[in-house]
Amino acid sequence: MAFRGILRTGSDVEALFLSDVSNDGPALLLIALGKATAGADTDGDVAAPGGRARVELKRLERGFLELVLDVKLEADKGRLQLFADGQMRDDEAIEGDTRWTYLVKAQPGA
Amino acid sequence: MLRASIGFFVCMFVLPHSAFAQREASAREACRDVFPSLPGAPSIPRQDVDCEVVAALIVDRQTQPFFSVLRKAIPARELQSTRPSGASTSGTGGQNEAIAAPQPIALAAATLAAVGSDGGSDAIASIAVNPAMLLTDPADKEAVARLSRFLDLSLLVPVDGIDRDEDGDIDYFGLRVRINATGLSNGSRLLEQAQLALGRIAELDAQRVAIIEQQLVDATDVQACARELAGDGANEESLVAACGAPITLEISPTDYETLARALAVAREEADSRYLGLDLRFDVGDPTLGAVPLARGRFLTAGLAAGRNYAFGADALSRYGVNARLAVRYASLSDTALTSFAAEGGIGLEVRRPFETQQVAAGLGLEFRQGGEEGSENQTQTNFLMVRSSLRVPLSASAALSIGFGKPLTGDTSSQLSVAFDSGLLLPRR
Repeated sequence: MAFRGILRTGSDVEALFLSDVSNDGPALLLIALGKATAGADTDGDVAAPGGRARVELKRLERGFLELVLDVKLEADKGRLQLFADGQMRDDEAIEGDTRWTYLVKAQPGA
Repeated sequence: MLRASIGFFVCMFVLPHSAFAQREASAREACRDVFPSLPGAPSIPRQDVDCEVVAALIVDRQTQPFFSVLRKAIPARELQSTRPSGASTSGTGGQNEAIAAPQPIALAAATLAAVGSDGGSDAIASIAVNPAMLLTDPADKEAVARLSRFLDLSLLVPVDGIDRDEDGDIDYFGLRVRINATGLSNGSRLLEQAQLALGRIAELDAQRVAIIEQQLVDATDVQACARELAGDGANEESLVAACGAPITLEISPTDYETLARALAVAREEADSRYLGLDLRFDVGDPTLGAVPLARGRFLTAGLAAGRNYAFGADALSRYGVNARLAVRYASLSDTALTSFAAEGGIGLEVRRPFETQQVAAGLGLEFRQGGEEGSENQTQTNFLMVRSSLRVPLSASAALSIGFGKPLTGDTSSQLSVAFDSGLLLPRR
């Protein structure tokens, strides 16, 4: 399931990929917010096998957020986590390339 | 006249606005009703769902197939493991690499090396494990990933016992720790290019969400339109029937191919360099009796780095340069002599994947300089040695490697080793 739900505007998000020690090679973790007003904010990091990749975006604006994990082999594994304002939002053991998407919008009534 | 003006104002502005607001509210309720039943819909509180959320789900589903190009862009060699499958025997007569590289094994491995030197022949066994496997349940991958620090630990012992002369002292054992770091750092130009490519896609997806949201609000049957857009197999006829108008998202495969290329190049860069820490601790006689009075304790700490490049028409083969520099502390047992020495080396390696292994050949120079004058033989210092190595796979997890070292200067022995390397196959979940 790629679409994970809603994130609130103004929040800070952080994503971690914990690379399995048995993985064959490095994994690339990318995050990008396509802003409703135009343009995009991005971040990226690399995890060696057994290591960790961390990306973050602060003060999200309204838009569409993509989190993409690109591993070396489809059998490479690890744990992908996303935190919003320090709280764990999503946490899943994954295998192979993975994409999570979120809609960033204001709180209703805000 | 005033009544006519007020009536005109209400008809032109208030009523349409009111009708628009009613349509939006109606569409919002329809989107809330249909969202839970759409394929791939996550659990979201009903009051938080509107047509924009439905549109985001639709855009995600319609663009997901284009991300499959990430797999197609991977070269064939990426399907083959290139991780070394042997335990470390570096720094002993059983060293089977021209220049020892601190690239850890994946899980566990063993090497059995037959060594020939001026002192005769012997055999060394080396077993390598990843310490995370000792500290946690291997099935708990989250804990393993958290605890691991991309290193392995090798234990080396002579094959026929660690106290062959039965004098109560260990003849020899060695410990090796290899730690490796990726060659691509956060903020590198190649990584930024991949970020830009994904940023472009995210920007387009945000625009698509706005387009789909408006089309849902304008649809004659919001729920049917949402189901058609979120499902598989929609065509123009079915979209017109459900949404009241043909709806197509302009999605260019080029954007995803650009991302795939950028990712492949960035990962290639990450995989082609290494910087590692190489720690060695030896107790006993690392010459295995070749040199009298050579027993002691030896601690070596160094850095190793390497860079490799693809070559050949199919870019499967790689050649590279490896180098290491370390400091070695020696404390001899029989003479109570202690000394420091600098050691290191530089070498060339060529390798080519062969199924899950690799064929590799290397040639290099190693040196060790330092120590007390007159004790070079015991501390194995002040030499320059040429080393060569050849590694041939025997099976998916085993390989045969041959290493030869001949001193160019210094009073140290030539060495020949023939080793059998075996790596533990990883379980697949």
